[in-house]
Amino acid sequence: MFDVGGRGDLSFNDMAYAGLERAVKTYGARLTTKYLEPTSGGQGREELLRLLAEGKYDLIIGVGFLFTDAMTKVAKDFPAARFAIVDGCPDAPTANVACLLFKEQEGSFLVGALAGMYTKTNKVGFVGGMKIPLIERFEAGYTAGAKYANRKVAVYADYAGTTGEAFKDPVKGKELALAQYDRSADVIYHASGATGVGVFEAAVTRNRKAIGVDADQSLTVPANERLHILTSMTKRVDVAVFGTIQALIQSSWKPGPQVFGLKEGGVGYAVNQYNKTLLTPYVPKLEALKKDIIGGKIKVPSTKLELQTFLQSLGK
Amino acid sequence: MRSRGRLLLLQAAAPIVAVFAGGVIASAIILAIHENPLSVFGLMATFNMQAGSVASILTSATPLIFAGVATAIGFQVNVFNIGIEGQYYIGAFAASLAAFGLRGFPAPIHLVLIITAAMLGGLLWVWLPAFLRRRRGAHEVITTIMMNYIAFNVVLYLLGLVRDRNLGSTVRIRTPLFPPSAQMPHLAPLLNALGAPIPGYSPLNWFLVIALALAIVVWFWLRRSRFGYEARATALNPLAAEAAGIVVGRVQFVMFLVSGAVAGCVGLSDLLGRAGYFDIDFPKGLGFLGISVALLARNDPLGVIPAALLFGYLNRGAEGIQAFTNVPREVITILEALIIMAIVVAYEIMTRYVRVLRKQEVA
Amino acid sequence: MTGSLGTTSAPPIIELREITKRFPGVLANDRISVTVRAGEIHALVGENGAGKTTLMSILYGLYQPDGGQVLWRGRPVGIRSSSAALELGIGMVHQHFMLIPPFTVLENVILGAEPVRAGVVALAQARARVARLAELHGFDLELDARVGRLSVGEQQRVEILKALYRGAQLLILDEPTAVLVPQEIRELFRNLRRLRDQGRTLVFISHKLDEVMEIADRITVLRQGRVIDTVETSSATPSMLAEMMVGRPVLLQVPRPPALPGAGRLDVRGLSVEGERGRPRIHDVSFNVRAGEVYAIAGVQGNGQAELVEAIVGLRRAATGRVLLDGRDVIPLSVAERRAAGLAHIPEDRHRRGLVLAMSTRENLILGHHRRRAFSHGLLRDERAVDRFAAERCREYDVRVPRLGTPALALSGGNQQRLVIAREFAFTPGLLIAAQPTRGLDVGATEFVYRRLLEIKAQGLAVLLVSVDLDEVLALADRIAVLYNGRIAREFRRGEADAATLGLYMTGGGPPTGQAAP
Repeated sequence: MFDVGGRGDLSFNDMAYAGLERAVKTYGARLTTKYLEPTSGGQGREELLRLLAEGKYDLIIGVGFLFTDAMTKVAKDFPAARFAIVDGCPDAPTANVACLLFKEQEGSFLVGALAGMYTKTNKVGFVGGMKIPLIERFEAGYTAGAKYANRKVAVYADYAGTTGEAFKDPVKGKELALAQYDRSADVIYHASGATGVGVFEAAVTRNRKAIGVDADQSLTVPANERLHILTSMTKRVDVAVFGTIQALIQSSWKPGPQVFGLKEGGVGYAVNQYNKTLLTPYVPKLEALKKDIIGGKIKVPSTKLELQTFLQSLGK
Repeated sequence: MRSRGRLLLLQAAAPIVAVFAGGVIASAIILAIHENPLSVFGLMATFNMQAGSVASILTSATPLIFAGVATAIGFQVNVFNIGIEGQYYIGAFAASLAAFGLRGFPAPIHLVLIITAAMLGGLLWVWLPAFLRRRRGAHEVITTIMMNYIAFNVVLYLLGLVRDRNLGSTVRIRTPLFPPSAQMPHLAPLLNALGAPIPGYSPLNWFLVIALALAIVVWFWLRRSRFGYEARATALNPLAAEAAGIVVGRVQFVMFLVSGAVAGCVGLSDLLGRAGYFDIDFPKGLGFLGISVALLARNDPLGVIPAALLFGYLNRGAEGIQAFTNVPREVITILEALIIMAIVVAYEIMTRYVRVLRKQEVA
Repeated sequence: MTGSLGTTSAPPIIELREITKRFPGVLANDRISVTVRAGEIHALVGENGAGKTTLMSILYGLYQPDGGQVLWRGRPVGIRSSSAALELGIGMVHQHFMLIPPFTVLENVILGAEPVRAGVVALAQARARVARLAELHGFDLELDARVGRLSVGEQQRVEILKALYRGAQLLILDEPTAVLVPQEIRELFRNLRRLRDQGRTLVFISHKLDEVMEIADRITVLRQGRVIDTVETSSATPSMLAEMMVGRPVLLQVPRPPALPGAGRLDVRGLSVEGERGRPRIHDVSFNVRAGEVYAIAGVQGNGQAELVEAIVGLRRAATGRVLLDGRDVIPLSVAERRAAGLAHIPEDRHRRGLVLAMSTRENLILGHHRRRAFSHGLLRDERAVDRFAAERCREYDVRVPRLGTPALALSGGNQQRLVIAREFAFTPGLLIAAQPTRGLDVGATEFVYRRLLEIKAQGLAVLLVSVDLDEVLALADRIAVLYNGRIAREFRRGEADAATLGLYMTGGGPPTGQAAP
């Protein structure tokens, strides 16, 4: 078992650890686990992976796309061991590497639908980090969900930038969110890493709502921001981690991309003690939509192009 | 004569006593978390003897030698270049441009071009603080730190412009892959042929040899060249140097620039020997580690080599402890820092003692 | 000349018995026994490195002896610290004053020993005590004056008063005359005699034999960590003391060749120089130095000498005026270019400006010459040429080093100065500027420097001597200019003025004749 960024980040790594713990609890006797954190960037990552592989661990999980290259190299040298990367995939298919990917668009669809139902002004917003296909997937799902739930809704979408910096620019995030609120949006969904901190601040300033991403952000933000977080689109890394361990034990482990969507419980929306009452009226509808997506009745778009087709189909 | 022998012995003993003192403090911490320090150190020692560990130590030491030498060059003449960090980031990015941007050169020429680009990048980034110091008296500690911030953001911005757009739907942001002519050959094949069991996967590469040669050349240059003489006189007594007709400000300016040019090369071993592209995950902090390395080496370019190896040793040892014991990661990081601090302090005490002895001898 | 109480019958106030102090490789004090009688002025003389300072540091509690005993009024004592020494009644006046310039005289005197009443400094009480002490000893001091504004002589009196205020019965004075002009020395001696007559005991450290002869009741001579002898001043002569100090006969008066002045070498015209923070330090100074003569600039420390020298050698910008070296204006030239044009410089402070102490002897010997082609070998230094040059210089100038690689900081003061001289005399310069060339040197080393300076003068070099030591100026100079407050108060030809006259001009006195044109 293996990790970057460190435990205690209240997000990815803690969720991955939770998945590991669940596996230990479930299969305790049959499982030996080890949990490591790299120190010195790429070299350290590769070296620790190698130590684990030499330690004859059956499955080594790297949390985060940054493991992609190191894991590709090490996997080649240890064909007998199995590897899994959360959120990443080797450039070429590798027989002993599984890629744990998420259908972010499905989760985004649900929170989009919630925003569409919740809005009083019929205007909702989206703040993305860097303008790359991955983040556009969030936007597509969100827009589709909002329109699906509320044909009259208008969706504003802005991105913090075109560089990696766009994921850690709270000032820009706040600026974009304020602008959207001032154009009378009353819910904003962000998919922008640390830039989202600014979005939450803007929500407090204008006394509107925001939607978090990846983890249940209601639990980690300062107390005064909690009430402004409608929900969060959660990526259940713990589910993915537990799933791949379970597959190994049940001898059904497969290499290659494995996508965790609503069906697999890999994405969803967060319900917690802070937003429970607020959400209650919408939950039945959301659960119905969820069923429709899982059942294939709704095909959630994951690109701009697919979104257009989707919206056209709605118009009919 | 007998006392001179004793002085030499004491000086030689200083780093050993320092390491020992570091070990004692570390032991106390390990005891505090209910582990056996002897078994932890024993594990570290045996683990670090393995061929894979030796390769890892040498690999980690390579950029630290560059960073240590770059720092030492500045510190030698009382120029506190804290901007190695930013200079190597810019240097590495400039090198990346030359690496994927230039095609069709044979490897040796391509590599020389890349290294030149890295040095120019470092030079570009050091030039402003050096100029401001020389002309306006602006303190370089402040200007170089500011330049570090600017460097990170400039590189992030530029990386967005030149990133590989074929990577599709992932947040991986990196330059296009470098062509084979821009890969620094690894040392493992050669060392294996010589009988050293360096594992084939090790990214240990010729930059280690270049780093060692650089340290030796800088050391020799300071001792045996006219400019080196002026630099040392400037460092040891600027007033006397000035009276002897040495333009202290100019010597410091030149050394500042050289420090930046060397700093430009810090990231090359990782860039051309391991990664083969520049991405947002490019190692950070090597410049700051370089300051510790240079301080531990007392700004001696040759001393930088063992100091960098010590950092590499501790780093690899930390990996081993993490993989094979239940000492938590945080404790290991604290241990590393404490050992280094203890070494610096103990070394300082020892050398001060030696200095007192020497002074008394003269009195 | 012997004091009223300094008789053989007086009991010893302090007795050092077989004091031994060893530093690694050196025996600084080798079984030293000295007895100081109550109420005498006891002089301690010796060359640098003879062990005077170590011995006094032991007495003042700064070092602990490895062997031997200290008896205070007949009782063995261990002096563990300077505060313990003070408690016994041992005070020390250091060569470099330990005063706080912005504080008043009174504040400086009572600092650290303030009488406190109910948590507040009882100033009135302290003032009364200090005033009484000053009056008793005839110290003429304004208690409310800021120390920074006082003359050096007055500051020294504050230091002495400080020690007396703390109850010192035995006062150690470390080279007290080194910083004073003749008038101030006379005043100091008067004060010291008065202190003695009132029952205090004084230990006077010096290497100026005529002063020792004048003030001391008894004299102890140290050489290489041993006591050579303790003698009654009445039975001693300067040459006898000098021989005991150095271990061989010494010529106290160096025979001086007559000046055979030739062409003008250095011509300073209307030079004005600013000091730190743009404060004017040298005002419109003009003089010239000719080949084959020693031209001396005399004056009390701090009257602009440092700025004048720095402007001539190129370390400081001149505000106005010209400096001609062999007819060529060197003001636009850098230090290196001036050196190349034949200017050599023995800096006032050899540790700060003259040497790179951490560098080896050989590397110090080429400092400033290091750009010469003779030492270059392509891009690198020709180490063998440097070795040859260094060995030859050390031999010729008697620089005593175990190896050429020995760092300069390991050399004695005299050897360091010989090193600087050996370097600056190399490659036959046209003009030598010697600033305080014998400061801190002992008799033997001073004699050496004098001989060499006169030697090169005889060879036709121009020498500009800048010195605060009037004996030195009178011994060497062919012409003397007195610098006072940044101006040349007066210029004398040799024989025109004696020490007293010079001293008068140095302190701003003398007939208002203005600046004498050369």
